[in-house]
Order: sequence, then C-alpha cells, then structure tokens
Amino acid sequence: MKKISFEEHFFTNSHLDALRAHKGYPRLEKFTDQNGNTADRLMRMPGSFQDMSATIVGRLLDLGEGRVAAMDAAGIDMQVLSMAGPGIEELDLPTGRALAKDINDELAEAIARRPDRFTGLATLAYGDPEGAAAELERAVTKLGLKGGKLNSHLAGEYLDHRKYRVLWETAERLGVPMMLHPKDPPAGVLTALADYPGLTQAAWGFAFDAATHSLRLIASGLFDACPKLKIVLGHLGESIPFWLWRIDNHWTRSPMTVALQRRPSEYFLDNFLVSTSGMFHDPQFQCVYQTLGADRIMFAVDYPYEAMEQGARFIEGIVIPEGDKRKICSGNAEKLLGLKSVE
Amino acid sequence: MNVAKSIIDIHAHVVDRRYVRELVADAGLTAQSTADGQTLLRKDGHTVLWYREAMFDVDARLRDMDEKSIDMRALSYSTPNVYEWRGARQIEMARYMNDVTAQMVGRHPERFAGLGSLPLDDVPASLSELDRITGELGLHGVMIGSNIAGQPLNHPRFEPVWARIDALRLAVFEHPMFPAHTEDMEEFELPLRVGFVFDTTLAAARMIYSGIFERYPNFPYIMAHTGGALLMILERLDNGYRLFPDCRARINRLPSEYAKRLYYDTASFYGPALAMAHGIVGADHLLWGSDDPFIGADTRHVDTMKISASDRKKILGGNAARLLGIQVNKKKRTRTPRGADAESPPGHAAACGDGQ
Repeated sequence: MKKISFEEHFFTNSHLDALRAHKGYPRLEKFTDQNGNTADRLMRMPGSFQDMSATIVGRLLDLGEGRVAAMDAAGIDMQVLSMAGPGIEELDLPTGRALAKDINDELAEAIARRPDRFTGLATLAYGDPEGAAAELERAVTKLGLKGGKLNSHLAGEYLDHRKYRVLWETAERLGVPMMLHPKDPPAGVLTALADYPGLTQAAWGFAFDAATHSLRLIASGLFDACPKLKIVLGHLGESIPFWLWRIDNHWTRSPMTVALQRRPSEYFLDNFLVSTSGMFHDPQFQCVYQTLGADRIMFAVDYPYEAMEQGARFIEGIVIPEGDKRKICSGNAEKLLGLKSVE
Repeated sequence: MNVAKSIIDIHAHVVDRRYVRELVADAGLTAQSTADGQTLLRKDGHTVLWYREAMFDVDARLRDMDEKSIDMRALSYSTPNVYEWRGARQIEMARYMNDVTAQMVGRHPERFAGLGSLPLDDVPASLSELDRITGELGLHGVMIGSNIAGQPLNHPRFEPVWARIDALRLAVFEHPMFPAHTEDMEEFELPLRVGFVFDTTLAAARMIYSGIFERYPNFPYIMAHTGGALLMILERLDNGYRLFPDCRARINRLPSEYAKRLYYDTASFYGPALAMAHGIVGADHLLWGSDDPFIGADTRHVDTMKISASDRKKILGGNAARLLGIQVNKKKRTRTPRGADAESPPGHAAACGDGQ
C-alpha cells in the first residue's frame, strides 16, 4: 500500500553551523562518550540535552539518495520533510530569518530533485510573526512547499498569543496546514521534571508541551477566528484524544471557562489531524482511531529518531478496513497537502 | 451547537393498502391474524408479507420518526414488490407504486426519500420507468429484488438496465426476495428467516462473478440486511476465483475487491456482525437501516459501534445523503443532481479511491 509519511526530519549544514556558533540555548557541543568517541550534544534547554550520534546527524543531513534508499527498503513512497527542532526560531531574529529563507530554498531544491519522493513544510522564524507569515507565503507560493512547521513555544510563550494571529490567518488563507511539533516544556514545567532528565523530552515532556499548546490554541478561540485552519500533531495527537471526553465534560462545567462557539472536542475533531509518528502501538492507535476516525489520522515515522521499517510494519499490521488504511497511509495527506494521487 | 443532525434510514418500506389488497387477490394469499395484531398474508405454509393496521397511517409513522429523532426515511416497497405480477399488469403496478412513493415524498420532502420499483419483466418498460423515476417523479434511486421472479440479476436481458443505471449513477437498493425454490423450507417461516439471507448472498455472488460491477463501476449498490452472508464468505468467494476458471472468466480482480466497493445497510442489527462489516468495508460504506415498519429498529445498534463520532455520522445519515443526492441541513432538504458533489462522487468505484 502506498505510504506518505508526514513527520520526517532533516537538518542543513547551515543550521548545524548556527547551532555550533550559538552561545546560549540551543547549541551544539562536542562531547566525549564513555567509549572515548567524540559526538555532538545538543544543549536544548537548561536541564535538557540530546546526544546526536554521527549516524543520526548523517541521516538528518541526507536529503538525497541515501534517504531514498532507506525509504525504498521500508516501502515508503514519499516523505513530508520538515526541519528537526529546536529550530531557527530560537536564534536571534536576523539570523533566524536569513536561515529560514536559506533552509526553505535548500529544501525546495531537494524536493525538486526528487519530486516523486519528497515534499515539505517550511521552516519559520516565528519570533517575528509578520515576517514568518511572509516567509510562509513565499515558501508556499514561490517554492511549492505545502505548509509550515512550528516548534511550539518560544521561551515559554505559546502561539495563542494575539501577536501570532497573523501567522495562523496566513496559513488559513493559503489553505495550508501547520505542523505543531513539541519542544521541551517551558522552564517551570521543566523544573518539575529536572530530577529525572530522561522525562524532559519524548518520554513525557514533549507530549505535555504539545498538548498544552494545542489546548491553549483551542481555548483562545483561535478556531472561531480561523475555522478552516488545520493543525497537524504528531505522536497520535500528543495524548489529547485520550482526554477529549473529559476535557469537554469539565470545560462546560468550569466557571473559569471562556466563551467558545463549540465544545473543545469539536475544534479538535475539525481543525486537527494527527500522525502516527513515534507511536507504533496498537492499543493507543485503536483509541485514536475510535475517537477521531480514519479521516483524521496520517501515517508518519519521525525519521531519523524512529525507524522507518518499524513505522511502516506497524501501519501495515493494524487491523482496520482497507479503505481506512489507504486514507491513513496516503489519502489524507494527499488531500490535506493537495498532492496528486500517483496511484 | 451547529452540528446538523441528519439521521437517514436507508431501509424503510411503503405500506400501501391497494398494493396489499391486489397482491392478496392476484397471488392467492390467505390472511391469518395473530394475537398481537399482525395480519400475516400466507401461501404454501409460510408468510409472504404481513402488516399491522397502524402501518398504513403515514401521520403515525411521521410521529414515530419524531419520537425517535429520525430525520428521514428512504422508502421502498418490500417483498414481493412488483414481481408477483407479470407482463402489462406488472408495468401498471410498478407505475402505481412509484406514483404512491412519489406522492409520499412530495407531501413530506423533508421526511421521506423514495426508491422506485422497476417492472423488470419488460426491459424497455423498465428503462422508461427509470426515466420517470429520475425525471417527473423525482425519486432518489431504485429498489431491486435479489431475484426477479426466479431470474437472476445477472441475466443478460437486464444488461441495458444496468447500463442505464450506471450512466445515471443511480443508487440501487437491493432487497431480498424469496429464493426461486422454497418448497423444501416452508416450516418455521424459513423462506423469510433464512431464504432471504441465502438469496441476498446468492444474488451478490452472481453480480460479482458475472462482472456487472466491473462493467458498470459508477453506481452505488446498497445491499439490505448488511449483505446477508456475503461479507462472511468473501475469502470463500476469493478461493473460487483462485481455484476455478468459471469464477474468474468475467472478472479481473478478486471478488472481495468488488464486495468492498458496495454499500451495506446496518439491518443485521447485530453488534458483532456490524463490527465485522465495518472491519471489511469501513464507515464510508455502511448506511443505517431500520427495516421500518416491520422491524423499525432505532439507532442503538449503530450508537454502540466502536467507531469515531464522525464515522457514526456517516453511517447514520451522511453516506445516505451522499448516495441519494440529498442535501441535508437544518432548514431544508433538497435534491441535488447526482455527482454534483465533486469531492465525493457517489459511484462505488469512485468512492473506493485507488482506481487500481
């Protein structure tokens, strides 16, 4: 079955250079591991770092035949490329803006070399919302990219803040989705996890962050203002599908609730899609499938942090109607991104 | 709350006094009353059709729909439909029955859709009636029995009918008939209880193996009672294709692939059976059916399915609206030209997606 994987990451050398040159967070440092090998350590935030093996860095930098060969081996027809986080939004604005432009150009070139295998989402220096909106428009209309990717909060500020509305409105007007990628949670929450650094990222902190971000967007009334806006979450919806009923149930009771036109779940069901990135377990999948339905789920791996092979075998093995599987594997992504079906 | 509620019943029947009266007279049926108010019309030791007095009362049926929050029912005549009559009389009765259906739809366009009957004894007359059904009568599709007075649906003489239906992209609701031969199964109402399921399954297997869905891929074919036993035996049908030349002479793909493009009502009413059907064809190919007024099930058998809210909406009405060309919103329901909705063409092949 044809497969388009939605959340697949890359780095450019220009971005790595910027991270090596950066003095604050995030920055890339050399370190020596237990075996005496030198590797890269990504200092993401105070109290949260990530070791980047040469293999991972090599895979992230490969936007060519090595990546295509890995896709062939796993039976993945197309990747929707987006830059790995933490992104250029963390750098100072002039640097970030210039890098975003370069990275988007470079991405478009890689796609132009293999338009049958790659499509992509724009990187945005969204600390400058107006500038990011303009870059999104350029990336979509001039470069043929299919949407944008956001790496969650900026130093604890979430994108429900009124000043980011222009970015959301631009995405809605262009009819392109925005992928909302998690980040280590902001400082306060990070403190709560600090004793156990293993919890700060994908094991727990990411889901807390991206789910919080999504619920803030919903609670802010963003989707009353932008009813056609589409947000894509990874990791089977960052736990929100599991909570959806309870969120509705208590949202309507709480005296602290602000006025929304609809129940929180209705926005989640209409304005969000989720991908299977890094969540290859059937019970969770079935919960999300029953909660959201096949029209709202897209296949993804989260390469190179997860294995293509594992993601592809997982989606092939789930027991759901064939038509639903086709939607999840490729149909929904084709529809959302306006791709022509090759089949 | 701006969620338009649209519950549409694909499987509901016209119960009409003249039809019953003339059928009793012409088919030689014997009436028998039961203690709880049924009139059973019987022949050869089994019931052919039955009614309660209240079933003739359209206003009562509308009130019942209100009580059950059912927005619309798609009405067709049940078994034995027009096929008991032959020749010119069949044409006359088909026209009469379609007029009655059109009147009910005309009086209550918000509450009833209509599926016409075809006098299939006479193919040219059926083609004319198709024009009338889709033209002046403004009905939403046709009802076809699982056999036509003993003739199978894949009989070559019906080819022009399928071609026309395909060209019109008209929805077909296939409803069971008694099998052609029931002499050995008359006890325990077996012609109704088991014969219907057998004949539905037999008809579907014939339609698939004969290549009708390969030659005419553009019309939605909706099977009553969740397809009888069809979905249970797909692997068996596929094995037929693998083993026997006759089973693959007229088709180029596995039988199950055609079965997955068809549509099925939920009138098996049975959770595990519906879970199986959903597992095979998915929510886009299931339509809620109540078999009103004979069974008149409510929506609970769909409400309890382990599926998403959006899938439930499709099954409870969204799919029927799409296939029958009914525009649903709170204010009014109107007919749209079939195929006008470019995003979701009604044909089973188009809805299937991959075109391979």
